[in-house]
Amino acid sequence: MDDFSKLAKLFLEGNEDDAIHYLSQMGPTPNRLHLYEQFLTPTMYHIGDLWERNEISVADEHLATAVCDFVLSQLDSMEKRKVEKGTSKALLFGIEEEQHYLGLKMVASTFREYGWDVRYLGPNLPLDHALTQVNRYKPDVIGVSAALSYRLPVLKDVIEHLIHLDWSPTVLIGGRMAKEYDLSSFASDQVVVMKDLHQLEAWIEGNEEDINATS
Amino acid sequence: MKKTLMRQVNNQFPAPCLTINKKYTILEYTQEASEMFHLTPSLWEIIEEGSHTKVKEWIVPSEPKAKVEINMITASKQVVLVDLYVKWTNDLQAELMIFPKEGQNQHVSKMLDRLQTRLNETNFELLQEKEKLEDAIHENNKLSAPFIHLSEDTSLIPLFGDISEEKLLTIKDQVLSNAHSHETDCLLFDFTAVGEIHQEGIYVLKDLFTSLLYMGKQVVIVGIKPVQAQRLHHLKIRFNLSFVTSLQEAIHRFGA
Repeated sequence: MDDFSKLAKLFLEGNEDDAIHYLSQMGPTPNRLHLYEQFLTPTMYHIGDLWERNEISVADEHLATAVCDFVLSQLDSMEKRKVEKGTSKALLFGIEEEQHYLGLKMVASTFREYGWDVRYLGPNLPLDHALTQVNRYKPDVIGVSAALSYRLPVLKDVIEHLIHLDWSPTVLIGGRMAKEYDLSSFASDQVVVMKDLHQLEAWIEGNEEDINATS
Repeated sequence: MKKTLMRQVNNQFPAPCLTINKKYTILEYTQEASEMFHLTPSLWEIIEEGSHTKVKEWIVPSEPKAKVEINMITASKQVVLVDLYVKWTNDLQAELMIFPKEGQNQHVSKMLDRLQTRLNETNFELLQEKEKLEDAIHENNKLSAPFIHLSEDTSLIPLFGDISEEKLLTIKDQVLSNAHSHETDCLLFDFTAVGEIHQEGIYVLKDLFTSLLYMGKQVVIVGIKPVQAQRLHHLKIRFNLSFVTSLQEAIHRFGA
């Protein structure tokens, strides 16, 4: 059995303790990003495939999602590498009706790892609610997530509102949609499409270099 | 091309049922099906995008009987999870029977959603409170070392509370810049109101005192308690540091 099948089995059994134990054996110093990209994400895609193959039901998927969420929260609260706490702020949410949120949580964790202040607002957030928080918090970066292609019109509307905020925050688009569809028409100086966490990590590092270079 | 016409049938079970051909064109439907869906000849119109692969995989003549769970789109544009029972009557036509799962699943998943939302909100509120608290601690730290000008030569810096690394780092810069701008030679650090001295705090304290000594200041440490004295051994800078037992004596001696 490959790693995803083993982990998927633990998730589907609702066995969160063994899942954490299994992941903790993957290396002495846990690199969160590596665990997310190499294990959690492919495992959840694998579980999606199992549903397509008619082997599990949506109820099973819900359980696996809850377990994955728990595991993710545990990994996120593990000791982080020491970074100087910066002043950059990121705000993250999933657009209205979008229920997928695990990726967004991983993004939150990645930003925190780099010493950012993070507001994670969760999935299915109507635009006006999001804008209230955005205006109060004034983040440098706003991360928006969508998984299904028929959210495209809503996504477009959300981006349109965000890029016209007066302090011009950078808007990141992520989620399965960014991975599977060509969203390059959205991209601009202010809008960046993120296909995965490694790309996000490179972007954060590049961004910090830019800030250091200009200061 | 022959135009396909859908027609309603009544000889079926009293449930949403469809008859399709292998091109996924709807040929027949029951009244229940027409009430549940907005029907057009194409089956794809009522299948949610994420379920298309599953339908292509499982609703095929090579699977004469099948039961699949898929998402469908109702007349009111809602996505509903259904169990779909498929039976191919021959290689060309299949009968589909549709059972929404909402009764079984929706209650539980709604409860889960609600719990999750609550957890998320609590988490978020906690985060906001934590940030407020951190700001308050930072403010508090800044106020823990006021710089009091006693005379031309002497200033008093009473320290308050525990000497932690965080607090010392907050006050270090303000003490140094005050010491520089006030041009006083003698600085009395009063430890009377100090509680515990943490190990990491000692290191920053040492940095601070060393910097002051390099700036040509006289550093006088006032009101050290016995327990604190043991901690201060770790300072290991003896040159130019004076120690005085009480603030009264210090003020008397250093001519304020």
